[in-house]
Amino acid sequence: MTAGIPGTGISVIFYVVSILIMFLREGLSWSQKRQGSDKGRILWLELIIVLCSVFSLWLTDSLMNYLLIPLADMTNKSLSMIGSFHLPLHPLLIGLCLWLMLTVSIEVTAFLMRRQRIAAPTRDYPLDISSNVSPATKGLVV
Amino acid sequence: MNALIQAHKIARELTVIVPAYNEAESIADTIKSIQSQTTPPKEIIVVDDFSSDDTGDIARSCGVRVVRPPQNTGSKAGAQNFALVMVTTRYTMAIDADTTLAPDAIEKLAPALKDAHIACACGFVVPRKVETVWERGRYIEYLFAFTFYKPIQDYFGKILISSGCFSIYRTDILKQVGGWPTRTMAEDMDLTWTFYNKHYGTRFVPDAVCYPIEPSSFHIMRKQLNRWSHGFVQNLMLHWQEVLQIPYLRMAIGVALWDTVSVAIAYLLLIPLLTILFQNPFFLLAYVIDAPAVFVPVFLRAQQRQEINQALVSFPAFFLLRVVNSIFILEAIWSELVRGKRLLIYEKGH
Repeated sequence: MTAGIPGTGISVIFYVVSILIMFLREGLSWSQKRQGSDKGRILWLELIIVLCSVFSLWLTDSLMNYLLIPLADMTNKSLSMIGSFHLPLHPLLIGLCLWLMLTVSIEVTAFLMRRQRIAAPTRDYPLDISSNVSPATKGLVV
Repeated sequence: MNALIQAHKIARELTVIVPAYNEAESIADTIKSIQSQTTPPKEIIVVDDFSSDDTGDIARSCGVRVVRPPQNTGSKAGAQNFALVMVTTRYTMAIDADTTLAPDAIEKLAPALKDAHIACACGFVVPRKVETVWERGRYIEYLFAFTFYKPIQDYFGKILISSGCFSIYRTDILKQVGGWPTRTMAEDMDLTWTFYNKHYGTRFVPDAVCYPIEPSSFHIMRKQLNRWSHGFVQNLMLHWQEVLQIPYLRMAIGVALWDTVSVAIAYLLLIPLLTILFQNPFFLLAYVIDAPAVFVPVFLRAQQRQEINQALVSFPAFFLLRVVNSIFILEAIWSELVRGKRLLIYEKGH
């Protein structure tokens, strides 16, 4: 997501969907013969990243389910349970469902807020750390 | 060629503000890297924020303007605002005192401001030193985020943060919103979201590279993560109503918040619990289950930068840093949202 925030899980799905939208948009502008070379360059890089990532995840899935877990299963029977869960592809599907739910929740909340026309929040914030700030800085009115 | 002319034009109208508190070790490198730009700025102002070391003298010896407030301003934003009132140029650049720039960083970044509605633009961040486990973790984190996430955010015109360590702003817009906000611990996030609320745009330029010094020890990293985590939660509390009205941003922040909470709980509670409950170490693989997906953008960028070996050696550190991040983010949510105990003291830690 950004430095300091874990940024894995469904945010990855959100950004993959974003790339698909980018792909559609750029495809549309290409068909209409509009210029978009800069954005196109970003899109291709992102597409390569996503395709390679999906391939590498599939490879991990196969490695775990057909090699690692059966090998370990000889000594530990409970592992068949993990094997049947198909890591990491099934969590991705669960993540997709969660993302859809989250998207609907956020969009509905935003829609309701628009309808209720909630007043813009006050700019005063109880946290304000400007109490630590020198008078010279506090005097900044521009 | 057009971009180069544009960059020269903007640089002639650019003032660089360098807030510095006890940065004697790094300030000279920062100033020299600005002075040796292919498109050097009109003026460099170093804010010696009541340092107790030689920061001011060293900066002065580099031939730049040094200003010193009557007392410590209490935060980076405070120091930046102290200098902002002195800026007369059309553009203002913020750079941390421990950050150096690639020689063409301003040349690459400046043209992003050619559209009048773009309030600020930021570049690619790469740690200058990649030696300790914390620096290595941050190195991978940056390569991943700035290669995969940020270009997508930029495509939709809604980067989550215009990095405080290296960004160029339109001075009039910056002054119009009151300078760098001192309301939260993450002034760069606060400022970026404020721009969106005022219907201004932002840009991310991956070719403009800066090199900050990242925390080398847990002691310093702790301060930085504490500030960033609390800053994120504080900005959510401050901006949530506005953010909900901004289409792409609300989803980007929504999934960030979801991941922040759910992944942190999984890392810190769920995975250890399942491992103990089933007495099965295979559950620990969940900590690195997405490693192949993380590795792809990191590898692509590292290859471009000819840093494959460094990326390979550093890769495991990313997963450690991610778990440590989780601890801080959960603590910040607990303190700020549940207990109402706000972080008010800006503890410097790079």
